[in-house]
Amino acid sequence: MVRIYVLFNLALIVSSMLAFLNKFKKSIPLAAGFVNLVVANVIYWSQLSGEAVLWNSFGVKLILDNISRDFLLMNSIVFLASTIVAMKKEKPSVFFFLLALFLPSCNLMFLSCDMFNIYVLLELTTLVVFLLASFGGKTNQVWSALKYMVLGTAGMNLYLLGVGMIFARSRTFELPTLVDIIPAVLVISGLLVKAGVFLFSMWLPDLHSSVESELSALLSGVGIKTAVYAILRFSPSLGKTVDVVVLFGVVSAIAGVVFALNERNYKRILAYHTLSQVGFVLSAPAVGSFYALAHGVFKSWLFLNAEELPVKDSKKLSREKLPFLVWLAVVLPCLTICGLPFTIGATAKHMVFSQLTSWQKIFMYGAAVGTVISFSKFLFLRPTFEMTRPVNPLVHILLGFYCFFPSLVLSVKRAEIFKSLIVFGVGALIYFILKNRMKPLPRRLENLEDSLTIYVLLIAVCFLVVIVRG
Amino acid sequence: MYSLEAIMVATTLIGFLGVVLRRNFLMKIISLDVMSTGVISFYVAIASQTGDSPPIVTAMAVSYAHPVPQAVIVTAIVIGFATLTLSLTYTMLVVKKTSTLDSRRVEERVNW
Repeated sequence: MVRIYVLFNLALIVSSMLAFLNKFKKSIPLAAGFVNLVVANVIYWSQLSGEAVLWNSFGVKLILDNISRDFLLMNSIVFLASTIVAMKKEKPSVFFFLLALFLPSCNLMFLSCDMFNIYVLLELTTLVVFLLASFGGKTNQVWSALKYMVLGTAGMNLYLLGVGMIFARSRTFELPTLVDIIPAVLVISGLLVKAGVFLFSMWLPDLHSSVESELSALLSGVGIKTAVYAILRFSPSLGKTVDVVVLFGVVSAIAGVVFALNERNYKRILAYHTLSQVGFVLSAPAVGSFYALAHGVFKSWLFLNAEELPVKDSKKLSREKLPFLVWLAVVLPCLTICGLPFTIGATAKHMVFSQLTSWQKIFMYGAAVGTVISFSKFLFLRPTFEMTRPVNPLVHILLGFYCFFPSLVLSVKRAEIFKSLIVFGVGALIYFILKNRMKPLPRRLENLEDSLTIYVLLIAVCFLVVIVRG
Repeated sequence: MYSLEAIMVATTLIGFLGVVLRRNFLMKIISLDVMSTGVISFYVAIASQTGDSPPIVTAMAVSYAHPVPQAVIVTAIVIGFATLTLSLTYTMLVVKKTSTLDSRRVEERVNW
């Protein structure tokens, strides 16, 4: 099964070359997206699984299991939605080639299950992301992409050093059963930089808010998930070191929300929420993959909505009135990210909360309430009853369907609905109290120099935590 | 016994310090390359832990080097090269617009 799927992805890579022909440049990524969506849905719903081990190959292995299936479905949905939006813009054929290359390289990433495959595919997606992000050529886009590159490459070199140490002991690239302290910290601190965790990856708000919305959707929905996937794969073998991941996950969930609360620019708010949502994923590594799927769906929808809004500043936006259908498309993903019952957001949140210990639960409920406060800026927009069509109706239908699909399959417990509504109520109440007291926080942490210095300190903190816990 | 490995790890860490401490952006990229050179040499050192002869069966050889680390690290060399060239090219673009290489000043001039 895995072999056929790998061949399918190689076919996608070859077909992406066709995008260089000017005639096919737009149809190639679109066709690849449609076919891939069908394939990913077949894999997801029929629960296909399997693994392929390279013969006598020192642990090189591809695997298709429930973690992979969630990530593959997420990749297919987000890619198709972003491609549909990208189709409307006039770009050179290289852009569409890179776009079509992004899909199979992420698909293969979500299959890989050994330390070296993970490294190669992470770097491949990084290069594609870097090229796509700096394609606009504006100075702030290029600079934020460069920041990403420097931090990411430094992190990946540390990761590779850790992998080398593990290999020297076990003579295989298979994911290890138990790791020593030094390699474990190197591997984890290398991956966290790319995963979009607060303090580790402060390149993220700049990069995701400066590029065009269809790319922000792709980067936020799938780009950072490649590293999140790697962490989820590593987490069973980390033993007590996994506490570092959970700790920084909780910190990230709260700090991201605090920054988002005070921000006014629509896309920057979403970028800070990406930091916070990755925190939710990492705080419960065992069920994190479903939350990653949910986050991919609603975050890409939110980012693509930036195309529909007349102004990006939340203060000015609150004075505008939106046509009813546009209003619906803007408010629905906001409700989903806050955890409205019957949506994918609520299902994923309850899965995460069921795994947490009591001290984590307190902080994570705080983060959930904070999400509601922050998105209240958009929840209370006013609709008018004109029937103007949104710019990209197909995207809204696609993402809307996947926002509500768990309620078609799973039954919802009454206690869960009750909890969600309390979170909503408290959040909205606090929003009206704090409404006029929020000012954007300083962006000092996002400087390249400062984030590198902080990175060194964080590696030391990781060591400390591991030694204390071990 | 592990002196070669220790030297390579030290090289990597020195490269990392360079990335953190140098404010000149070009120097940061060069330090990244030092770092990846350190890592690559570390893998070569690991490969020679099992022996020194090339992993081809000959009558003379007593012990063979491990072929796998060398084989996989070729990929890392290529990736390092791609990263280096791409970031140098785009640094050119940034320098053209902001006419400075100091990363703090670039930051000020980009975000004003």
